[in-house]
Amino acid sequence: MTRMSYRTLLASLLLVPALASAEVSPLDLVQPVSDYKIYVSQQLEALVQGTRKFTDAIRAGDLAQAQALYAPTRVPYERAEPMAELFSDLDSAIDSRADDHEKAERDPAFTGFHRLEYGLFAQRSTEGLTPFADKLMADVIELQKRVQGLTFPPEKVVGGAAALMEEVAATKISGEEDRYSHTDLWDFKGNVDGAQKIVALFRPLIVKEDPAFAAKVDKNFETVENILAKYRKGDGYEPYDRLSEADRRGLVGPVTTLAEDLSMLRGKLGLN
Amino acid sequence: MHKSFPESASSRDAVSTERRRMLRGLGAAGGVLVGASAARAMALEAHPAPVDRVAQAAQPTPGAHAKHTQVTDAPSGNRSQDEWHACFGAHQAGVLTPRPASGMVASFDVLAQDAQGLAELFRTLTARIAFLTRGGPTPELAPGFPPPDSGILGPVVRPDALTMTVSVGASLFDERFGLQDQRPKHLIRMVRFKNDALDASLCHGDLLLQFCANTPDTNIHALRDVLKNMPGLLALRWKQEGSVPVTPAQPGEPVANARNFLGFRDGSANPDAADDSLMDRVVWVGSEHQEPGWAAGGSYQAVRVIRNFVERWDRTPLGEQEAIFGRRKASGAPFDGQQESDVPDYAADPAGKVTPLDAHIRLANPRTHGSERSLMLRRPFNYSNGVTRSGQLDMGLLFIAYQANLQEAFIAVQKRLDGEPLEEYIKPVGGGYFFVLPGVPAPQDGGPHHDYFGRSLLLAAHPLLEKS
Amino acid sequence: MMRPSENRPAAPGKRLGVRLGLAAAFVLLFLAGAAFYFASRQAHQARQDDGAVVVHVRADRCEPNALSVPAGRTTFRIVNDSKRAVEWEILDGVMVIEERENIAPGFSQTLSANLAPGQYAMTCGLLSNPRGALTVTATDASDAALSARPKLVDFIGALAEYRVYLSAHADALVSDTQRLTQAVAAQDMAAARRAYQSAYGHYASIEPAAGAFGDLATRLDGQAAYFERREADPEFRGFRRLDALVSQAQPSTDLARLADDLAADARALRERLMAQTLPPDRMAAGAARTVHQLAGTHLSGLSADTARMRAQAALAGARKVFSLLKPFVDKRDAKLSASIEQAFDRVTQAPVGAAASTTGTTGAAADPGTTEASNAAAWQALADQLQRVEAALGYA
Repeated sequence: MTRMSYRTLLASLLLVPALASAEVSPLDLVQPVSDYKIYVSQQLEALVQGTRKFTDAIRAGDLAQAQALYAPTRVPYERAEPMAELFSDLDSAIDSRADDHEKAERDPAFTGFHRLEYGLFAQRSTEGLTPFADKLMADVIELQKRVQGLTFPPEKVVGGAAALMEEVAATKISGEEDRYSHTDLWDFKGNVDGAQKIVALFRPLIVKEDPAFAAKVDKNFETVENILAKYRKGDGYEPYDRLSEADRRGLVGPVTTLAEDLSMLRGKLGLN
Repeated sequence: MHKSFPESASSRDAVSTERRRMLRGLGAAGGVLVGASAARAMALEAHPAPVDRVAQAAQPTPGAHAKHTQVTDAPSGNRSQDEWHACFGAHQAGVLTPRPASGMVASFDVLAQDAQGLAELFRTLTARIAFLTRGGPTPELAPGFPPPDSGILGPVVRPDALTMTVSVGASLFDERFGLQDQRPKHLIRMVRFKNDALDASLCHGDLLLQFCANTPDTNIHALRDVLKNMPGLLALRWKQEGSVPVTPAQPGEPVANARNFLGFRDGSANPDAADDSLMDRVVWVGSEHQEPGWAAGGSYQAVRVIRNFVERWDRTPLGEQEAIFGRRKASGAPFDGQQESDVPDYAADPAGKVTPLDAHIRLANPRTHGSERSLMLRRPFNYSNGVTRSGQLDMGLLFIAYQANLQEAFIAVQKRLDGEPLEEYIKPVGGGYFFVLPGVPAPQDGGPHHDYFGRSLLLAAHPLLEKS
Repeated sequence: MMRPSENRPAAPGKRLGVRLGLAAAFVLLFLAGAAFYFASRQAHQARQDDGAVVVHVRADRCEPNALSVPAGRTTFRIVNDSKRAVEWEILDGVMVIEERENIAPGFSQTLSANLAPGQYAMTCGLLSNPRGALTVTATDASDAALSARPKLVDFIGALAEYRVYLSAHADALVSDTQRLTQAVAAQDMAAARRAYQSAYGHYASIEPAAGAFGDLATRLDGQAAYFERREADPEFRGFRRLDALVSQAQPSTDLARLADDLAADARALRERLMAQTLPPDRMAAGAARTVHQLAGTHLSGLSADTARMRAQAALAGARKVFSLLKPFVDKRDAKLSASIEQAFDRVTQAPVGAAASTTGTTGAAADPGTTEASNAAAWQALADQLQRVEAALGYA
């Protein structure tokens, strides 16, 4: 058998699983994917506007204002994370933590939100932060431009819900994301919002495929929202260290289960 | 007999003369004991083998450099505790030696103050390695003294296929020991790659020891022995233990590479360790590599502690896992092949329709003209440490690779891998670059043993070192 | 042709139909594979009888320095006519596809390579020597392998992107027509004119999709010529009717009503557009139609400014469609892709970028030799090229 014909057969065998989920037509996915791009565009516009106010406060030396704006500015980024992290250079520049760098906080490559967080909350000063503020502003604008020009890969959109819950499971539940400001619960909610948005956009299709699955996902989101709601404070949240051990443990189960369940979403919607 | 069990400097004086005579007598008399406790007598009678083996030092044993076994084959679980590998030879053991089930790397800061101190360190280390890899009864002191051996392997140390491989880091070649001009060409302090999150407390070191044995206790015993014997010369910096799954060989099936904690075979496409001329080109430093003369017979060693996000991996569709690696998970075969040993044909797939262009194996080795310069011998272990603050598992790959040219092999390959899809699931957190010291020839029968690991390096920098 | 997925027959019947379709598809693919296997074997035999393709490597070049072979397996014989040992490589970019090393001076070696259609390079002795060119041409057999339509799932990203585009322009259309009604109510004709221009521009941008809705297209953009009583017909409304009215200094009596109708129709259009997903062939057909209209007298009756703006916006809209479908066309027919790009450029460069004719209500063809005529030809050429996209994507 020549290599070419063997591959044709192999390719034909591979096509069969892709066609097997025939209840959901690929055309059905177009609307939710496009609605998601609109959602992400709105989040990134909010991110740009918020970052402008945040960095203005830093440049003006207004420590209190900058501290107050830190957590709410990050929320749209955490919501739009599945698309933002497709650009790993910007994701690293905007959102890396000290322990991603060998020299930790003193590493020159440590920039972005957490570098500013370190200055504002650990060193408690805006001194020397202007260059980092400028860079964050430039990076956020560049991110918006890149996402604007990106045709969203549907499997990354659908998989984004699971990816957000992985984020929460790996870094938000432990409180290691915002270690200087302890504003992790804001980020937590942002990730959960982003995941819920994706599920909501695809919900009609999910319900058609597997109504029990949809109900289970909804219930777990509800549990998470209810626990988080206990820590609401004004427009935001209590510091992470207020989270009781019982509630922290109460979050682990639904968050991990959501990560497991949402990892099945691509398969259920016929995306490989 | 006492020449084969060199006693450490600290124990030599403390051992009572009566005990020493007794120990010496054992070999000649074949087991006659004078004044020994009952337990010890039982222990010695139950394990006569190491004593016999000492007399038969020239005989090879099962497992010693079985050339048909590849380095990363899964250990088959039928190993004997008496299996031993010679630590002396043209090259150090533990590189081409088939990998046993347990491994450990331990990194040290050298505390010696000068070249003489470093020489003493290497001499002592060599002596300990010679004993531990060969086995034998442990020395005893009177009960008023702390025992010289931890005793975790019992009163008679079984070799258990232990190899101990000594390598040195770039920091050893600073001004402390006058070795600046002797640093191997490519030996540098490891520099972070884009996906790294290096924890300074898990990186680098003046000296690294790689311990491999059939069981973890043998490695731990050896590490504790080293620490006990050289407290003023070495301080432990970091260590990582690891293991590979034991898979008994099935009749009629080829021996397969052991799996990593992502469930994939690790070590497919390793160069053939039985091919001496290939190993001379790819692994061992030789005259063609233009390194300092003392380094001939050594090798560059890249160590990376790479955490795997296993929960997230286990939630990833199988098709995606396979596309990320570029191989079928169950068989280890490439997409256009039938079995693990098949070589993928990328030339017939330039657009990456069969094996994606960013698949791990394709990026690591695109099999184009010139990519054979990047061959290296990988000999990794899986590690499983603890639980992170998020309640997720801290486990991953203790990656160890040997090559004659660090720049062209590991560093070039890792640069090609920068940005690969697998990065979503892995995070290098530690490790370093080291140089495996050249081998030391075995002592001549009956003669004193002057040679030791690192001697050629010290003499290259300080030719008059031994003249005093 | 794919139909929008709004109307679905009863589920059980559909499942059986899908299963049968699956089975049929699988059988067809298997047969295609088998047919291709036998065809390529035949081709292989034929070449062997003719002998290998001979390439002489000389001191500073190959002879021949440019080769063309059909796709599939070709045997090359490389003859080293130079004084040094050489290696011969076929390169795809920087990747070596095949090579023979160490051909001694005066000796030859054969190399058998299975090549896909495309442009390759071959080395000719020393690395400093210029490379030779090796062109591998498509054959019926290699075409057969490529012609299977891409999976619809591969289009999702592009279709979603177009939907975002439609959504943005539809939103702007709605808000502009709203501004128009407000300007008319405030009797601010300058603002009304601005709002009108902006609205019409957004409409034109999405004409490839919007024009498919016959009823709404007629209400929003119907030409007077197609109404029984032409400009006097009570059903004549929309952008065409408003063009003259918003240019006046004072609002006419029916301006308010016409503006309100326009705003309502704009909202209806947005709803219609967002309620369905345009499949790739409809997108392509829509773009072709949009451009085809502009090659004719479609813009007759509009003022020069409006016509120009309308043409440019419609061209941009068609270009957006093509840019999203281009990666798929590239894979199947790179030459078509290139000629479409060229045709777009030519139209963009046409004097003032205007469409063929802005005069004449009878649809008479422009006089040949005039600027109008060459504009018309450029638009028509583009329309003809775009017409081929549907087939290039694998749709009938």
